[in-house]
Amino acid sequence: MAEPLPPGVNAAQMADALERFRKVVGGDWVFAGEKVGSYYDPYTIPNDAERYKAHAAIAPASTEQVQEIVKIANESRVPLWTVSRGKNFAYGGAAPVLSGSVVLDLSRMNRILEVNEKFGYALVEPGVSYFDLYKYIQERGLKLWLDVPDPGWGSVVGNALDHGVGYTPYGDHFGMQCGMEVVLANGEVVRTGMGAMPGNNTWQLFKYGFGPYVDGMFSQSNFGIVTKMGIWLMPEPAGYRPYLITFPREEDIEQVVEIVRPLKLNNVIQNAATIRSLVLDAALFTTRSQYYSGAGPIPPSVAKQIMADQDIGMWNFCGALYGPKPVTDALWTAIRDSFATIPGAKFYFPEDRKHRPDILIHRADTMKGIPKLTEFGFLNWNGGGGHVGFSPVSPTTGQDAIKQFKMVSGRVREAGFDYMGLMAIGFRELHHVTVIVYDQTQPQERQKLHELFGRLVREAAAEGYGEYRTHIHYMDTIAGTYSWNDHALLKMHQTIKDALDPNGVLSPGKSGIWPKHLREGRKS
Amino acid sequence: MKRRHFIHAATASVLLPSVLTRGPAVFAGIGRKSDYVFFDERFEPAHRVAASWPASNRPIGVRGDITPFWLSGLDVLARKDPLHLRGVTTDSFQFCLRVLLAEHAHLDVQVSRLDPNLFSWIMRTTPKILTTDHAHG
Repeated sequence: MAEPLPPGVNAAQMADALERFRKVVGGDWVFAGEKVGSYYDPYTIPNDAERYKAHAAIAPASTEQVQEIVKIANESRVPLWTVSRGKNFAYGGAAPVLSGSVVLDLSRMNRILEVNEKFGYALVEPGVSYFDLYKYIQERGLKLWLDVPDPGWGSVVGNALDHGVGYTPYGDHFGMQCGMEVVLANGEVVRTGMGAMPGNNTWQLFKYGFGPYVDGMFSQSNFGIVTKMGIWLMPEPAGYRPYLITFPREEDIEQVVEIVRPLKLNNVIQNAATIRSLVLDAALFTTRSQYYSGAGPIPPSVAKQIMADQDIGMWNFCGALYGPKPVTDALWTAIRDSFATIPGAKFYFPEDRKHRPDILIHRADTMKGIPKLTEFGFLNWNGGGGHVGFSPVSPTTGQDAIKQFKMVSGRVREAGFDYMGLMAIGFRELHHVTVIVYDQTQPQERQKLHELFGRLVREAAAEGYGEYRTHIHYMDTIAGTYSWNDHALLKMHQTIKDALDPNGVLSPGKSGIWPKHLREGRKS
Repeated sequence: MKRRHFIHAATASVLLPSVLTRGPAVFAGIGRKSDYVFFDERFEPAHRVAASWPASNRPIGVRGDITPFWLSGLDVLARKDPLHLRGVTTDSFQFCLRVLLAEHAHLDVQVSRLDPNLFSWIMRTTPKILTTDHAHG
């Protein structure tokens, strides 16, 4: 099957553009034909082989090459789809929203330009993975910790730009970003914040610079191509003590979250802790067929068996204490005494855990910034491997937590899937991330998933719960839920898009933002 | 034994689930030794199948997590030498291995599903050409 072409570009024009791209980066770094397969979404949702397919991919090695590529894209009107490392699986991976786009793969731009131990920051290119940065820090014996998302192979830049999160006190990745370099659609290179002042020495120290703070414009957007980014790193603490608190009933989540809120607001819970559901944690190390061979979600009796076997709860709160022992002892007393009011709550440190592998032993690494791929164990729950994340945000209240849980788990279970969710605790908000694991080899299962996801989005939006991040298949849909004042936000995004990228060559359709020539007749 | 070199990444077979076939018979008769064989030690069928394959090295027992194996030398091998890997593992192990290998090597993959938990696979790699990349700091 021939690779699709984007609208308005014929085969000859594309061939010419690819030949010009080859002159910029070298023939080895333009991928077409069979080689473009690695840019497909491995968890594609629609039963339509033509959707979200790249025509080709190109991997530049420098900001200068990115500038030349953008110039060619403008002249040829070939759309680019930018990925840092293309590892955003469950959200589309490296696949473009607009079929026929050429993926701009920045993974070769993998220099770690600076790691500053005194101030705790790194300046990196988009191709730097968490594994890369961790290794760099370890090899040099620097007293700095990363904050990592669950998969360690992702891009430090890409994850932050997609509003990804981790699990240490530095868990808000975009919040920890400081200064960026961006190639605009006209080929201009801009440095934001203090980076705009020649000879400055605070580019990675002070976020705001002077005038409008524009960094956020380049997150989850298609307004420019980020080619360098500063990220703050946590100084290695004087002590570290991870803990696990388990709760025996699903309805406990209401009380748990009500207790979490003041503890988090007052920094007693220091990190981006998570409250994880039974099946999500069980799935890391066991499979569904080891417990249950029936159809539909696992029954309560099986859930009880899993709890007993693995010594986990219906909810499992993983947190960590950071700092010298007198401080962490005081924090632990406050945390333990608060949660001990919930009947059946159990408290563990790593030395208390008897099973191997174990959820706390695993999360203990993640909460100290060690990148891994362990979390992908959940793919094995029903063996089909497909997964998509449904990720609405809510206030940190027990009322919202139980409402969200019942709403989402109810629909997921009605559709025949097991509920695998977690609540990641921000300062004032919960990210309720539900992973829906399905058999991607079955078209009817993908269709069932698609119907379920649409329903979840509509019902969450009706209650005021918006998603913070989504799969490429749902970007238009989610953008459409942010509709206050007749979609004023989207209209503003489009105005910015038209100004910065009038030819619409940068990542068309990202976050529901389309260039003018592709906007007519498109409904969010 | 002269190694065969696979130049082109047959990634279509990786990412099109419709080509999955059933049963281990598809690999029968392939007498070539594998550099490494992996099997998921939690499942007895994985032991059995892996034990029947010729291998240059003793089969390696794994669970679902590729991380320790990748970081303990497989990443270096993948960059340096062509590899012939076989496995009977869960999806997470083979999926993560494929993605990691594809960063450093052209990849030819065959996968078939044995049962609800296990996938039988072969991965043949050829290191990619590297230029001035991987210059850190």
